[in-house]
Amino acid sequence: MAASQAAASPPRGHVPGEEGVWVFIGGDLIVFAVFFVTYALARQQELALFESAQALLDRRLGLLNTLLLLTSSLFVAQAVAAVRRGDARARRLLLGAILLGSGFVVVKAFEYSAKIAQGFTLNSNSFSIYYYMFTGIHLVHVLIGLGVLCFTLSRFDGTGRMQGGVALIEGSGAFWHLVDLLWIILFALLYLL
Amino acid sequence: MTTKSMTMKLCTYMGAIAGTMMFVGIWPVAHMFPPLDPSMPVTEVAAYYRSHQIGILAGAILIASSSVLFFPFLAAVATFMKKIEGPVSPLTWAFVMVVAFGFVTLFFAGLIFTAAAYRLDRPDAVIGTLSDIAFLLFVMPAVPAFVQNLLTGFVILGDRRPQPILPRWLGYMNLWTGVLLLPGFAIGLFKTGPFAWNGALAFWMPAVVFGIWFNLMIFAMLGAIKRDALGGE
Repeated sequence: MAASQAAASPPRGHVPGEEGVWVFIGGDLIVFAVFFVTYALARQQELALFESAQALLDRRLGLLNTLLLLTSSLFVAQAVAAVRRGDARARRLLLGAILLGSGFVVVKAFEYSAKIAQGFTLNSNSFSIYYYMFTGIHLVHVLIGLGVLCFTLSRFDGTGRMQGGVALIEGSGAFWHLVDLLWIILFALLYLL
Repeated sequence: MTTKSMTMKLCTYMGAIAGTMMFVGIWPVAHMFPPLDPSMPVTEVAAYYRSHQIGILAGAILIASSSVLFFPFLAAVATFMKKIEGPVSPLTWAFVMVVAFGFVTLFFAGLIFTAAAYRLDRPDAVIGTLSDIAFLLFVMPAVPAFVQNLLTGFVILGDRRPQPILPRWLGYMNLWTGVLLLPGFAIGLFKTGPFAWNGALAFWMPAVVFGIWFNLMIFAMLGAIKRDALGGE
């Protein structure tokens, strides 16, 4: 299998994962780019409302989630490197990444329920629509990403080696970095700007 | 060319005909593309139906008929999926069931557009209600379509053959299309803004992506038929 050769020494110009993953990632980036442009236009029209509504968001929870996802991404990157050199620690690194990602989901659930308790709900104002829909769609990405990482975790054999080469963990890692990247932009747009 | 691949080809082209019919029906004939503004008062909605009656009735015939013609195309997709999955094919069966109710909504949308425009001496509120139901039937099937796309994507990516029946990028394309249709879930919650049924993110983006997905499916399926991917093992 070509992937196991790649595992030994990644050739120059090697595309991580299989090419098709990048069709998906590119497509998703286009979609979120459309989201962000729509948001920027809406924000410009009702600047005062957006600014006062944004001030209600809890930046600390946003920052905590950013740190959780960034650390999780780092763990995935380390896991990919470990699989490439046949290091049995890859499995534990991947498990750590999944736990950190699950932490993101828990924090998000607390954040949503606190917001709803304060009366800041989906249709409160035009900002709240963007806040809930964008973070909600992103949360679906996180859940899909966690599913993919769990599937990858199940592909390790008893000795902690990856079955079927490095392409699977590279592909799922690339998707996880996408989830991370999108969150950083969302965090900046919704919480900080 | 064998008879079988001829039939597959015809079924695939039927999708292109169905898509064109639906689009012609909803857009230049019925003038319902983009959909009427969900925040429009019912008196204006009723007035719109009264001034566009013939167009809406004719467009509704095209929309309802296109619903039927999508099925040979979907059957061709299912044939490919069955070939990939083999004798034990739960995802193909799930696909067949999901599209059966997901695409039938198009028939009902046409039917209810007809009912709304049929007797114009009805009270405005009745015409408005029927119009709402028709548009919800038209846009909300993003929900079954999401599942349908995920199933198609999983089956294509699960193909372990050295030369896959359908190209792997098409699998990822299906997953992407599915994710994009997600905002359609929430149209019931909004009357204005990007997530309303005429909004940029719940309507325009899925509509454009659906168009791209549809054409790429036809393109890839015709390619697979041409190299006789279904014949032999």
